Amino acid sequence: MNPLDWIVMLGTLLGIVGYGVWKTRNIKTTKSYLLGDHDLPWWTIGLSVMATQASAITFLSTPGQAYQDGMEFAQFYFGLPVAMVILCIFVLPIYYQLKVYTAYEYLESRFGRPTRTFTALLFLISRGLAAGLTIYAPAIILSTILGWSLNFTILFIGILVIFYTMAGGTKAVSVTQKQQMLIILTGMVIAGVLLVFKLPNDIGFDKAVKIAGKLEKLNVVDFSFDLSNRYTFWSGMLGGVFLFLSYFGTDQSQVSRYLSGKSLKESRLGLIFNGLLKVPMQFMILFVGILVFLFFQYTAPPVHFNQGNLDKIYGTPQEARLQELEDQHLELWQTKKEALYSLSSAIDQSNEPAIQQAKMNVFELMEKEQQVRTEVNDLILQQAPNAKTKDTDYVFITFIINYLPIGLVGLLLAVIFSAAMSSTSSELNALATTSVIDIYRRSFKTEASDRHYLFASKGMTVVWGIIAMLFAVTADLFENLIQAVNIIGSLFYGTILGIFLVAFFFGKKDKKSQGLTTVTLAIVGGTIGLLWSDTYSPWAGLRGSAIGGIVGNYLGTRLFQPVKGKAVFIGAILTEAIILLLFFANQQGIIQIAFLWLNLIGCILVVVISWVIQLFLNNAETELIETEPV
Amino acid sequence: MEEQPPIFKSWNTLYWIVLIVHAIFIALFYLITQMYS
Repeated sequence: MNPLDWIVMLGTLLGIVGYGVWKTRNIKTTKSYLLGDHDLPWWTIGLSVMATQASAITFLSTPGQAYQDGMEFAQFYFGLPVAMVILCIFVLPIYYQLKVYTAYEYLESRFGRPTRTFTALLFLISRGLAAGLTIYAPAIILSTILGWSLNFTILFIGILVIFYTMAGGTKAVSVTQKQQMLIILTGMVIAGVLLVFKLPNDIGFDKAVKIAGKLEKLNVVDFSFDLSNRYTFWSGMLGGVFLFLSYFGTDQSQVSRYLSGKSLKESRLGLIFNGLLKVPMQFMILFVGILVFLFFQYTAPPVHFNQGNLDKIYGTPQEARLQELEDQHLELWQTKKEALYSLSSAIDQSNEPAIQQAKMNVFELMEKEQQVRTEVNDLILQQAPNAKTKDTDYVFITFIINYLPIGLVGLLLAVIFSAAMSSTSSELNALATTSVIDIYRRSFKTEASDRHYLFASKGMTVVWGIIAMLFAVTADLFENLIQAVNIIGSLFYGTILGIFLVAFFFGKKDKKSQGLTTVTLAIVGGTIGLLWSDTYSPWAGLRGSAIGGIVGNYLGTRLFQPVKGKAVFIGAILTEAIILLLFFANQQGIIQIAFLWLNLIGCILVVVISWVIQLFLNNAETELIETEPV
Repeated sequence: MEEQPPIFKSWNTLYWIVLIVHAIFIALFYLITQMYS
């Protein structure tokens, strides 16, 4: 890498870290450290929420995903704005009213300590694992580019993030995320603009987009209802709403972002800001991937995007075969380029049969290219059986390193590092907060000085940082990094959201519904009594009405009872077991279900199972010993 | 007393605007899908 790129990259990263540490040098209390000083305006909250969600994985995997599968991944985010509105209406006011540190603290006031602890533990497991992947993603890039070992790279990134997160707590996270998002958005826009200018002059942007469309890369919306299809409008709107409700409403890494807002109004505006910008932002990132795809239709791409894998073959007896395959790949690319020009002129002439013919040719050549690439993958596996041959995560970075001008390479690398640091710092801060507030201070050391808890919070930030680094060291790059994180989330989020939904909506005795059931069944009973008596005797009607009323009252009081601690605790454990079973059955091919649906299933199961258990339990027995939340 | 949003008269109006803008985005994406396929 050029020295100027080094200066840009390190200058940007260290500048942001230094700014964060300097801005938070006066933090002396646990409350300031974990909650900030409640002084953040809506735009900082909005950017912070976006930066927390947008990890380096987003900027590496998403363009690669668009390169491979087109724009369909945009549908994954369709449920997000709806989830933001629901959270603003129902959840934020409750958190503000109770003045909680963590989302799980609220659960204790509803269900007792076991449910709070169980939910906090689910969060710690899922987020702890995800934090490892968040560090792992940029580490594989740096190690490839700089020739460092992967483990050393993980250590390097991890220590940098731990340093400023441990020093400044939640405020350091927020103030650095503002700068990081600015760098990220600027870098991605510059990359997109440069890609447009790098298209051949005789093709241009407009025609290139039409070609991408004909090659089925611009299929953004799919309305088909297919449970096994990962990305459809329905999986995004239904499964996605539940995933995002759970992620933004109950995941402490997000909850802590908006709880540090100046007021309820600022927090709401921050979430609305996220709801409005997130979908277009994801569309833009995916579109950058489409532009990379178009760029590599007119510039020869490598036969395999992970150079590290190819290096494993050089110097072995397989090198000659690799060379042959590379030549074949180049030849196919040249033929395909000509076929693309034919497609382009057919589009110009609006000649539909010619368009179809040219499309067929291009698809046929793409399939041949894929066969060559598969053979290269086999060669890689012969040399290194444990190597990961899926190379879509390397597509965008290959473009950055090889085709961007000096200086911009450093900036784009800073984008990826910033994204990694911003989401990891939020995660470490949230993990530390939950560990200290929901577990340590609640169950182990209930009485200690503020200084003690401040020290414990800083210590837990370091501990979680180390755990994340250890997980990153052992993480495998399975199918796709971004999917890995979402799959881990989907295993736990449904259950967590279900617990919160029961807390929010099954809290009080619903007297109105109880009364309505009594009256309805009294009317139904009276009518049946009248119709069944031969003489339409009013006494028969009254008798029927009385019986109906008694039955209605009994059913109403049973059905509309609040769901209590023991029922929801058992319901949540059973649900989590079922979700894990479903996941493994899916992995074994016994059932076919896209992972996004697990959020919806988990959520519904918790609500239904808890409610059914509550029906069968004596109310007196279900009441757990309620204790004052600490 | 709940604070009003800085734009529009009530929070409900603001929420509806967010949902309508989102629906417009989805419609645009659908148009892109149809237009370029």
